[in-house]
Amino acid sequence: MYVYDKHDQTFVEARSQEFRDQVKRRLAGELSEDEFKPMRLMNGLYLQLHAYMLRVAIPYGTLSSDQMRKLAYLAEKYDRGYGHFTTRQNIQYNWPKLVDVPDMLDELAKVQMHAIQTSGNCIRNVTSDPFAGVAGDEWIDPRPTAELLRQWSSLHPEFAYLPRKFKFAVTGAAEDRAALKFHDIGLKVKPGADSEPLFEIWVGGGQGRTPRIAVLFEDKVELVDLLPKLDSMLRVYNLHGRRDNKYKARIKILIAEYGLENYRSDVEEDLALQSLEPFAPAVAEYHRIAKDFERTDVPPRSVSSPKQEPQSPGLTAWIKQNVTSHKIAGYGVVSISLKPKGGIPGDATAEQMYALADLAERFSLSELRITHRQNIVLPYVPASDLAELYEELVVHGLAEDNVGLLSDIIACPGLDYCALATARSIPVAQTLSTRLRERESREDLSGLTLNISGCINACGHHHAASIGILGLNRAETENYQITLGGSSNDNASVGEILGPGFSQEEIPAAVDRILDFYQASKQPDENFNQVYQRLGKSAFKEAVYVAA
Amino acid sequence: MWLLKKDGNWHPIDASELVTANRVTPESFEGDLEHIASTGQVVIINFAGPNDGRGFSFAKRLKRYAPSLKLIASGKLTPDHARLCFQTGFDEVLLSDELVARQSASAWKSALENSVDRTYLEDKINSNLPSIWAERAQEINR
Ligand code: SF4
Repeated sequence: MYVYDKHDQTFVEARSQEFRDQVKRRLAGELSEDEFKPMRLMNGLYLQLHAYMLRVAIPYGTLSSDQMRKLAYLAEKYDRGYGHFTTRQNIQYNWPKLVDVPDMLDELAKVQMHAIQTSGNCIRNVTSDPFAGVAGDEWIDPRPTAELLRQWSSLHPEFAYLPRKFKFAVTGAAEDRAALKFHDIGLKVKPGADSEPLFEIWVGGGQGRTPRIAVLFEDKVELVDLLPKLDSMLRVYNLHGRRDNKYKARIKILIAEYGLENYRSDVEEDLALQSLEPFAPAVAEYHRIAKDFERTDVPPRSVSSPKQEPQSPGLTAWIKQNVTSHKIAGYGVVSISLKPKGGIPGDATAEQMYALADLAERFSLSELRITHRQNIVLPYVPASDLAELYEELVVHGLAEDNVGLLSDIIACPGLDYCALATARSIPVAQTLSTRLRERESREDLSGLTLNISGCINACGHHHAASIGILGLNRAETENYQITLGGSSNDNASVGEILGPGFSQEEIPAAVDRILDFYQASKQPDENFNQVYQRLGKSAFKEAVYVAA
Repeated sequence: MWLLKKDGNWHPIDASELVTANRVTPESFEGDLEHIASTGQVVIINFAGPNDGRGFSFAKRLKRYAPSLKLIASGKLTPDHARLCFQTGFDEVLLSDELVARQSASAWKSALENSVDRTYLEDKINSNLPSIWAERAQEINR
């Protein structure tokens, strides 16, 4: 894992100190709420429906046991005993008091964490593959690039007031586990000559009101050219992105309206004016950072254990569903579901976070990951320890064997917390999770995804799901629109709106009809989106609406 | 009106002293750099609102194109914008009397003093301390 040096440490401490001063000025009335708003947002502090919400960055979703323990402590001391892991690998606390936030930031700084740029119209926390460094299909670990971007973008003086928020994702494997093409800029890292990284730059992806899949801006970009190019890409966006309408302010709209070729030529023109001097250390920085991610402390493990204990059905099902093969023989990558039957997707109690920190220490070289599907990963579990780990997870209510199944639902906080929401997401997710867990005990619902957003901002990634649910407000009543056929993998697609929306009570039955039709129509080895593409929207529409 | 300098000090200025300055607004940012650079030695770049960051990128480009130009930021700014101004190429910040009256007199200086003005790529303002990356590079070479 990346370990802060004295410069990183001084930097986060200074930022915490700066925010303390801003809070002091706000509480003293020297700053109006309007003036304070962008400052607090740039430090991840929102004003929600009931209270402030603090979003803490977990850069590229990697954290240590000590860091997880600190997150648990914050939940216990400053919140109501729980936290919510988000689709961008962050954690949110829903109940902090403004006056406590500087202390929370100081606590975070003690374990090399922060809330810098987890909100606001700036470059947000960089996300990545939760299986980085351990996936069998990985070409190159994306996290050194992600950390380089974190440093480059942190308090970048030019990009603090962009037209709109700006999201990066970085992957380095054949399978996209980070929804790369739904980001403003996605970087795919591949090894070039002498194993130096080469980058594909994808631009203009995003969800929200106008979902777009990113397009290829350039491939085979060398490390030395990466940051100057990104700097110019952001500068052109900052100068030309629309500011008259927040729904048209993301870079995806600039690309659509201005054209990729015009954008590209403006970037080239800007690059010609760039001073490359500040970027000169970037290559050495990348290699310095990369060393921290090389784990040299992974003890060799025997591939097959001499005597196999009989497994309980629960353990067998959990291993089948939640354990992925590791690039190192004798290890497994364990996904821990935060989607218990009837639970709130992504929520973990302080007690569970403490337990996860301890379990990572015991079983996974003190390392954890957060996934964009709002689950936790222990990336280094010896195969011989799986049974023991499972028993511990059962004790803490963390052994749900549904990772990658339909009940592994993504949901945003919706109207229960979010000031922008038009409908509730959480109760819909809870009802569906209960119903789907029952179906999953009888039938195979793997390879499908179900995502729920509480408004058109699409934080719940509903556009990118096989079955997407969007909560709207129609005539002061919550109404849920269903989209079908979305996907966030390498063949990313945007789901299509099926038809008129449903009430909250009607949604479970509508989802059942979609699944019944899919199961009845699918051919061997066909997944949901393939069936949807083969039969088309009208066939599903008929099954859902006519059958009702 | 007042002019804020990089060191956090400021002094009053009469509007007549700036009559010859070239005033640029976000709308005219489309104009080519050559034209702006040839129209005078002082350019005042106006920020349309506290959340409109175009002025920072524009200043960065203009300063690179014509390093000898004196760039002054003006418009709806708050003390916390000062660091961003000085790190993107502005030489001074023009504060209206109204702005100065509303913010406490020490707010601009204090915001500059308290801001994290040394980043991974930016040198510390008013100091010999280089950017974090530059210092790390020096440490490696030592
Ligand atoms: S999708 Fe809407 S309701 Fe959900 S978290 Fe985002 S802004 Fe809030």
